[in-house]
Amino acid sequence: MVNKKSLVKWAVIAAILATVPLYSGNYILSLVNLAAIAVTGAVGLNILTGYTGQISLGHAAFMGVGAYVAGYLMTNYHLPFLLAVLIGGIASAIAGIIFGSPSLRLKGLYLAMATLASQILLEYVFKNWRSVTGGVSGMYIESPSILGFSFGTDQRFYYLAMGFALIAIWTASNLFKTKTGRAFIAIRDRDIAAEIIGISSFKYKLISFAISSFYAGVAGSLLALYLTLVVPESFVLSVSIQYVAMVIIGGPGTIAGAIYGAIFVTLLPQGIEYITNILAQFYPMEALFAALRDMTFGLLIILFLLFEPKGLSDIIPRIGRWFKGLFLKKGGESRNLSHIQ
Amino acid sequence: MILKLDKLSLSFGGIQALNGVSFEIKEGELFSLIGPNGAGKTSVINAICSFYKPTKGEIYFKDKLLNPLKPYNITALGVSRTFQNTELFAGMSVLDNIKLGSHNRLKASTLSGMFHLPWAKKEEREEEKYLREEILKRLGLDEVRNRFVGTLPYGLQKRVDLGRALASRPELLILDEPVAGMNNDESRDMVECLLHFKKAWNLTILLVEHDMEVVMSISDRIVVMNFGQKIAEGTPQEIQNNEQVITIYLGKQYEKDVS
Repeated sequence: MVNKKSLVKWAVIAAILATVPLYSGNYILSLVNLAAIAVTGAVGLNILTGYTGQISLGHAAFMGVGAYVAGYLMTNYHLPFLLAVLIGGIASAIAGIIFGSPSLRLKGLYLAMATLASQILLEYVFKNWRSVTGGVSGMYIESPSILGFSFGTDQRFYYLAMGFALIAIWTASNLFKTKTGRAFIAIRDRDIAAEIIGISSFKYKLISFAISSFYAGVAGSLLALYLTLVVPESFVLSVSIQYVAMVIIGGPGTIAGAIYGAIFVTLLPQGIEYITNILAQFYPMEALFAALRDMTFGLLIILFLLFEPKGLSDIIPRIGRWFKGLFLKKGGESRNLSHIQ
Repeated sequence: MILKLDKLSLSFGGIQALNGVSFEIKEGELFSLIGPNGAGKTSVINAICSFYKPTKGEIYFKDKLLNPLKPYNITALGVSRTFQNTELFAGMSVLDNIKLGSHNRLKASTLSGMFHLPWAKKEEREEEKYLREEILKRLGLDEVRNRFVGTLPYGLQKRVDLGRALASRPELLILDEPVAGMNNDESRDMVECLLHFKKAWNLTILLVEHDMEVVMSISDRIVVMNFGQKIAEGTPQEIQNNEQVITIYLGKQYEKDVS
């Protein structure tokens, strides 16, 4: 039920989200836009990996399918971009079902290998089906517009990216209040018991693959619209791994985790770049930037898996409680305990 | 006849888990399956649920052959079960665990759920109301419905397992050691709940249990198994006086206690 306090909270959040472009510079805004697109994609992967327990190393490839389909339809058939994004998402969902279905008999490491194969296969298609994808040099697309209103600037694109991210978050959190979402979690926790109480794990794993890939396709199409360019590089294996990192670092199986993870992983390279630039004054290391970035992701995934398996979605409220505890002393603390139990 | 096992055999590699087991359960009956550990009781349950495929023999539920069905089809027919080790979904609340039992009763599509469409919302709300009124309150779980099942004591987890089985509105309820590991009070409460639901919902119950006091006091009929074979069938009275059963399972001590 909506009470006064949460109403105020949501009003403040809405006001902040609505006014971000007014006081942010272009550089910040471009990061925010990329983060919002990543949120859409990460929410999708979290449905499959975090909630259904199926690892996928092909998420970036499914984003690519959406991006190329949307781009192709816009360039060659001049479809309105919203329709193209929708069809891109559906194409990804179909690709997810096709590439997911042989994977459904596999678990754990073997599933990871099978999804890795689909990533490599699709990457090859992106690079070599030149008549459609434009090969390595890619495909240029117009910046999106509705009835002459163009989303070509960072300020305007922000509302598009944020709108899609919010819809992604809203639909995903609704999903887990319904039977389909519950079935996903049941399969993750105990697949055999789930089967015996009446859930077809084959059917629901496939639905999870489809939904997750749909989100990926939408995120991929948005990325293409934002960059007005679709190139294979945007959808390579290391991008898939970044998405896995978002889910693990953010906190698998929570919507908030996907959001935190997407923001963190989008901003992390900027942080690393900033630090390498400072260090470069003492020792030339620009060339090391890419390697450092990948190493940091690897290290973070390992550290989070070992020490914080619940990810940022667990750490951030903990820090919040700690601050509250500092100011409120006893009163705040007892309330926190009741929350934990 | 609600359930019929016809010369059921089941083997894993060289191990013969079940060997020609036959019995029939009548509608509305409380039918118990007893025997020493490893006698094949849980194998019978797993075969009924289609989790194990019988090597020979047939299983009929209301004249429908269950053998070729998948486990998830069995629940939809009106058969549900509890588990010896509860098998609850640790990452979910008590209420969500029980809602999973009514999975096949909810018809709203995935998309209508994701977009919070009115009919999906209404169906979910009505189901929740029914489950809370008819199951959670009766099992004493309504107060803890939003807690994660992992944080509950064992006795309550057993009740959640029962609640989940009931949520599919079964005609045949299969219980795998529902009072195992409970103290006397908990055990008595559980039996009371079972008898309430049996009467109110007109359930047929197949009970596997080691607690002979419970079995003998509530069963209509009993089948005794040993080494994958049926060795006796009858009313509690008949079973208690069966020489073979006493030697193999109940023991001389039990004979004295009863007399």
